[in-house]
Amino acid sequence: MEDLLEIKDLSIDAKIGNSYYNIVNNVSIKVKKGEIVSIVGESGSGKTITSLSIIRLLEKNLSIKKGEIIFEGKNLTKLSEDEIRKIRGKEISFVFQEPLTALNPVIDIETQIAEVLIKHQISDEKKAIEKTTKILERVGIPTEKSKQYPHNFSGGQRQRILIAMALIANPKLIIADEPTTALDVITQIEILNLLKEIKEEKRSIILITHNISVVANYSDYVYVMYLGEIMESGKTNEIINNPIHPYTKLLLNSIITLEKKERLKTIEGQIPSIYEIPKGCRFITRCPYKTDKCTKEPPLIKHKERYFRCWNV
Amino acid sequence: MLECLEEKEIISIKNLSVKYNNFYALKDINLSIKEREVLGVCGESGSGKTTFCKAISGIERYNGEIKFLKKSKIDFIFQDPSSSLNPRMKIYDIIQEPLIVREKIKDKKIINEKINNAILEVGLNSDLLEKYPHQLSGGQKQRVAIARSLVTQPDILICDEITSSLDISVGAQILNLLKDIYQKRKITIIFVSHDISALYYISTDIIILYKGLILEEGKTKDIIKNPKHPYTNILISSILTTTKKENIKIKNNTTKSKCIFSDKCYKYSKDCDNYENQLIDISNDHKVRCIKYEKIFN
Amino acid sequence: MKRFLIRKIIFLPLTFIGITAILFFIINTLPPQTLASAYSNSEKELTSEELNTIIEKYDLKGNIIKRYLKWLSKIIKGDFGYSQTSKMSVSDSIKKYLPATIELALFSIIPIFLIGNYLGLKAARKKDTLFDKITSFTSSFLYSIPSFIIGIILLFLFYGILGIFTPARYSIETEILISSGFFKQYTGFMIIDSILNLNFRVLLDSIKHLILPSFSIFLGTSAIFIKITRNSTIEEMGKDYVRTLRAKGLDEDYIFKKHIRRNILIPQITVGGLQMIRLLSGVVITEAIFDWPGIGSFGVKAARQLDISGVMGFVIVVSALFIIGNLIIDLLYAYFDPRIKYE
Repeated sequence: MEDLLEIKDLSIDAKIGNSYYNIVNNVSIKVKKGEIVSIVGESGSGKTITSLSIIRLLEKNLSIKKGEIIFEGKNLTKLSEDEIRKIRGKEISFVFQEPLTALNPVIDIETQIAEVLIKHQISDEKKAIEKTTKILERVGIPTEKSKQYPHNFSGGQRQRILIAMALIANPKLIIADEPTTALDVITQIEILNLLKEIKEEKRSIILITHNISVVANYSDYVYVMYLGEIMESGKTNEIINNPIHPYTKLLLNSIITLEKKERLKTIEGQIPSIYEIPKGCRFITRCPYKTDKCTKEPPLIKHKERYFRCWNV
Repeated sequence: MLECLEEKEIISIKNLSVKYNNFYALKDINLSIKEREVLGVCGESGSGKTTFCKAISGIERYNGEIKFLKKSKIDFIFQDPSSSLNPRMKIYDIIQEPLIVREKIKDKKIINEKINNAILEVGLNSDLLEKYPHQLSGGQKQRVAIARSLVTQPDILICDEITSSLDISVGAQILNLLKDIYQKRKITIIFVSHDISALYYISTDIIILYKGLILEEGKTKDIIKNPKHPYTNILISSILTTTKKENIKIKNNTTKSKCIFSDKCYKYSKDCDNYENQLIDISNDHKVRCIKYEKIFN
Repeated sequence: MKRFLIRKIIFLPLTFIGITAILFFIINTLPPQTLASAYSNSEKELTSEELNTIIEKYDLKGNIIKRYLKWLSKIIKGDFGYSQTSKMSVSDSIKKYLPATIELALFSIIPIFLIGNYLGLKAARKKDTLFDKITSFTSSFLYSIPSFIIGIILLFLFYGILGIFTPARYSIETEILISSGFFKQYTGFMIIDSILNLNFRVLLDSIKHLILPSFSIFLGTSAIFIKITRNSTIEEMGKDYVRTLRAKGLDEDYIFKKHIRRNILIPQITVGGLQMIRLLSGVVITEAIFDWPGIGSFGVKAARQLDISGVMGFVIVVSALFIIGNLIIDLLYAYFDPRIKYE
């Protein structure tokens, strides 16, 4: 299966005041057709910024310093604003994290969903409304409510509406940023199962999450990010059951599992801010296995189907 | 997993219910909380878990009975440390406040000593005392909130989603800290979380709240290893495990049943139509609100 | 919504009574002799005998509550008394002067809304550029200049030097037409009346006279509307839903025209509505400079001459406009913002 999307050596800088901070460094991600790829990381890992850069929705003070984003053979970083706008919502769609504020409060949801088709000139107004009704049914929103406004819906329902908006133009790639945080467990399962259905339709999903359990149950391939870098990547069950990188190992140790009986082993300290990014390996401030080598930035090493960034393995 | 070996009851709750306008935030709550118990309250938004904490703390009107079988000091720790710490106060003053206001201690030396002990107990450095909340990380702020509670030597500690806004690794630190505190002091903890894995780690007993009712209650071991309610089973499916699990499918049923979970229940059948949310005893401590309670787990 | 409307409408007379009561009690702090002058219809100054007759007749030294209720019953029938200032009944004065103010207010508020909206939106989209800074500076500068200075400068320029526009509401020719009966004033609004009279000369004349004072008002007061438009738009631009819209591949113009515009309506209605109400109560200084026969100048003249009936009539009219205006603003909120539900 060939790659649908490939991010090659992406680096993003943030300009704050007069200084530049390297918040995403040499990130490479591959997504195949019909694959669910998870990007896992804690706060400050750069996972959201990396995915926003795919469709060029970065804040004004963020800029891509180097790297390429290849989608279906095209380099997205080299496209004009008009060209990338044609891709947004149509070929690649994004589901944002905060369902409560991600919708326009003064326009009804039917219009907000249909306008994707209308503005991308996929359907005329009549057809667009028909398709909207169908997609709402699919995500489990009662169609009698289609002319209502966002505040008439619960958080879980709004999340489904966002997913409907992301699906309606039949995109090839859907990026879902923490689609289940703040939702109750039943809605979470429903939405994740919906994502699985979408994968069965040979569409790809990038799932951004900090929830390892979600990763374990729903994704095919995982990228573990820490402080703007990919620390480890590989097939899900290999990463979960046989992690290589110290950060991955420690992170998994701090998660409660059914089998665990002893004390949680935690990672000492806390994630450095972007103003305190260490030189060399970015995990050096918290790693119990660090050596002198680690003051130099470790390269990404390939081992069978997996990649990891560490000197001491 | 912790186990509670005490038998003395400290809080007796009988027929507790809280009604707002036309719906019940809590209904038919009957609990006997023992001294040194860590009661895990598992509930999501709308389950009534916050109402439960408020009722016990005495800041919510309720029907029924909540009796404290000895004079107890209750303290509360909230989910968001950024909003529970006054941004205009130094950490020292934040921790000092309950000593002055509630405990009415005037001796500066005693206050100093208590604050330093508290800050050490939560694993923080004393040079943090001169800082302001915005200079601290989320985990550090939450530790300060815990220190502020501990400094008055409470008998009952209510923790409402205290790890939910923290990163995984930081939340784990807080859970370990809470465990240490529990093992060191004679304290009863009510730990509220939507994350049942945290409850598995830290509670001795668990109640599962859903739309104001307790769907299942019992010792942690029983609830996690031998759950009887379908909803409990769904919650447990989110705990990481190396054994392969079958995918849970959520059903959407239209039912005539009065069972509060019937519309989402994958075990629903016509037999459930006559069920009216009665609490059923499985064993001494294990109770469930479901008539389909044969073994779910193997 | 119906219940809200009914409740508001029931409260209207209560508010009205409250305002009139306060007004009445304040006015009656004046001595009875001064009050007596309000009751006479003659133009001459009254002798002390005549004053005493009036005091007796209208029981001006009597029980205040009884007098208030009597006065209130007259007001309700529309009898506001006689105005010394305009030498006609107060209700006739209002009929004469209020339309002039309303016409000027409407003629001014429309460019404020349209141009102000355009400038505010553009300034927001071009935030921190030269255009934004110039717009901001100019409108604030003009807002802070006392309105009479703007009015005088405009009058001086366009009337004194260039001779294009003239003050007052209409030219002498039109005035002759009106007083001779050839031009019927059906509504009191010159634009409507000239259309009804099929007299397009008068129509052009009226519009010509409206331009300068409304321009003066526009320059002096549009800053607030421009600022609220700009600032609300900037606030909306940072919101999450705008990010969603961009992620859907919608272009910036569409996002602004279809989505953001609807969200800034509420602050715009608040500020714009209050501005409109202010204009309706008569921009006194502008009316004075442009010799505009409006309710504002009437009110001021009446106050200066202690024309008690005139003043009271003025206050009641302005209060009524204020209450009704606020009700309309509330209704507009409910119409434009689906989240607002009045119970």
